[in-house]
Amino acid sequence: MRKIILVLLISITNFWIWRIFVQSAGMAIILVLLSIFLVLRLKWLSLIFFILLSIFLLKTSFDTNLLYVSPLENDKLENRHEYYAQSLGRLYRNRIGIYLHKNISPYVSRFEKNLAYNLDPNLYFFASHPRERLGIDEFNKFPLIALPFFLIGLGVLLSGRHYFLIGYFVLSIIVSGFIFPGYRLGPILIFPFMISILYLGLLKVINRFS
Amino acid sequence: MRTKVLIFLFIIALAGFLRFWQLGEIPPGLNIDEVSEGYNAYSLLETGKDRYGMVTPVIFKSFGSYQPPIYTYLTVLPILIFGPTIFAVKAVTAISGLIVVIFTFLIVKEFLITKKDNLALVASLVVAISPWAIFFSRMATEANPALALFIVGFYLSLKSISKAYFFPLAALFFGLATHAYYSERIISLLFLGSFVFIFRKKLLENKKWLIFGLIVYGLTQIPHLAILKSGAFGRRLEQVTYFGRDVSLPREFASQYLAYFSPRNLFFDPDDQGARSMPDLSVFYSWMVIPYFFGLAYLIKKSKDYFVKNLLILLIVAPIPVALTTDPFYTLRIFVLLWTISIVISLGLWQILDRIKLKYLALVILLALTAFSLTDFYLHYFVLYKSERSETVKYSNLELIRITQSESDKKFVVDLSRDISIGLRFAFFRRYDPYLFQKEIGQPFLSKYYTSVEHETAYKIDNVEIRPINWGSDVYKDLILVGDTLAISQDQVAEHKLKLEFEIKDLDGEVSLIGYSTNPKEKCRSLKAPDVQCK
Repeated sequence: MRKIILVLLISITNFWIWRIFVQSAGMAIILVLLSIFLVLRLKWLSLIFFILLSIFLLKTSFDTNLLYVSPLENDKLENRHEYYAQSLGRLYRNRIGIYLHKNISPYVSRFEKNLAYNLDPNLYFFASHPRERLGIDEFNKFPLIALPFFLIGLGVLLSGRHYFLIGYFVLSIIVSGFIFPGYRLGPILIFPFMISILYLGLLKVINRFS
Repeated sequence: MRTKVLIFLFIIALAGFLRFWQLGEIPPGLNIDEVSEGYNAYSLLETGKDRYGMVTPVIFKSFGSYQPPIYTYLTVLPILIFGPTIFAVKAVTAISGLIVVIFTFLIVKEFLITKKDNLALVASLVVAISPWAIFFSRMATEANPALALFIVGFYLSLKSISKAYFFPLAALFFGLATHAYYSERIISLLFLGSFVFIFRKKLLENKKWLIFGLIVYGLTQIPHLAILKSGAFGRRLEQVTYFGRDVSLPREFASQYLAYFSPRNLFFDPDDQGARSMPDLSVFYSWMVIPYFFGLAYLIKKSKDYFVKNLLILLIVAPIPVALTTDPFYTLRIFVLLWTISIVISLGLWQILDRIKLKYLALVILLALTAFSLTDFYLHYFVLYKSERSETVKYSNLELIRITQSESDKKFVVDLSRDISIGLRFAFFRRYDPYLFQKEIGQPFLSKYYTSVEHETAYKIDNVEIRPINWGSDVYKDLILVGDTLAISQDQVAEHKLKLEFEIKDLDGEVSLIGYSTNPKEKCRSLKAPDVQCK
């Protein structure tokens, strides 16, 4: 019971959940529940909720830019193709090289960019400051006071055997990479992971002083 | 053992190749700081003074700021050997990069508790091929010798716990590092202070070496003290800090500090400023994000280990100076942190490879990652950076210098409104006599060398005047006016009867500089009321 109370406390004392709540109370409740399941290590329930949420997000907020190359980008690709070809000659002027350059690399790099945004701790504590993204409504998700607990929690996670939580993180980061970075509620699949980390950090501090 | 020595030599050769290959051609020019270091070193070699006529400066005055002195002094020797060339200016940074690779091996080999040479080899390989380490070993930046000095100091300080007589030597290197780059002023002090505090019991067993070391460090700081109140010492900090601005200090500091550990900034996004980064390549390769987390886990688990404890100190103190500044992720200021993170990545990579039971498979994976990384680097640096960022090192200036030399019978006026260093580039590449430079250009600034940031705004180098174009008088003389597309508009071309002489394109195919010849007769004829200058 103590665990649940602690998770609830962490879940409701941040800016992020209230922003989600205002937009969609149901989503907020699902995320808090998923956070509790993660902390309690209820693997099947966590997985089912995660899959349902992922399907919902991929259906409603898939980043269509991942599959689109703008004319400007296309120009850049053409120019770069010339540079590569000049430098690498035959090594580059082959079907595989050209295919990789034009049909794989732009999409991979865009997906990588989405991954990178979600991996940035500043996104969660400082609204991406000092590298705010153009055209995206950046908002504070957790207060500065939560940062030390997050760092301690991260230490606990890395030094322990929290494989399920790490697995959840990897999956949520990958799925979030397909979601539009400007999605109005932020990368919400990562919310339960953040709560779990803060929980681990807070627990460590409580245990240290009790 | 012999195989390991051979592998180590191979890594050194690889590191050397990556740092020296085409060093004089790529990047194809010198940026503002590099040319300042180069010409000052040339001036020191020829006259014993810098370009303003200052004898042995404690810090070099340069375009509204000051440059830490070590790089410039060290560049005198390559300039003596190779003459004033791009290669000579960059030799010091390339050698520094190599020293860092060698000491990485020594540090990990001697001090990591596993005592596995293989790990030391992996660490030196990671530093040898990391984008940040190669990129900045090919840019004449003071931060690279600063890192080399710091790493040597770090190595000696680690040794000093078992052999106390190394401590004064470590303190000397840390002290020298403070004269090599700004960040090291703070990092050296913080690291040395933390080191002494944490290992005080051990260090106090040999009190005389500890005290001697601290005295040595103190002595190295005397030059700083000499200019402490002049304005030159703190000038850079004044320029870059957010103190005194309307920001929340704890939030600003924490956000900046955290940004330097962000996977986004370390493995995916390049530094915002084009001159300090390659197109679409960050300071580490993207795949390194996985060993980064494994390495962090290792550090946490082994935090009691002597070497790991020191790495943790570095991880904590290294981002402090840069977290006090406004720039988002400023790579140049965090070399010590980047080096430490390289070790963290190596530890993580080793953890992963060590779990693979088939050792040959582990080796194949390591070789494949190296080959993939080097291909990635080649494409982003030797192809894209060279082509897309040639103007960050003013490639067009070299072409202009060639034109003005081949047409030495003509007079040129080169506009410097958007590039204040263009005149110095002329002086450097045309080997302009430093005695004349000091007398004609540098002299007025000598008396206020450390107290004022005023600098030269006009140059006359043989047949070339480098200054803002004077539209009221230049068009009435036989000249070739040179500027970028903003300096000379099409309206001005028509109004002043200018004739296109040449266009200089950068390696991206964009026009960077345009040269027009004046036509005083035609200009005078076109005036309703002739100007006095027409007579």
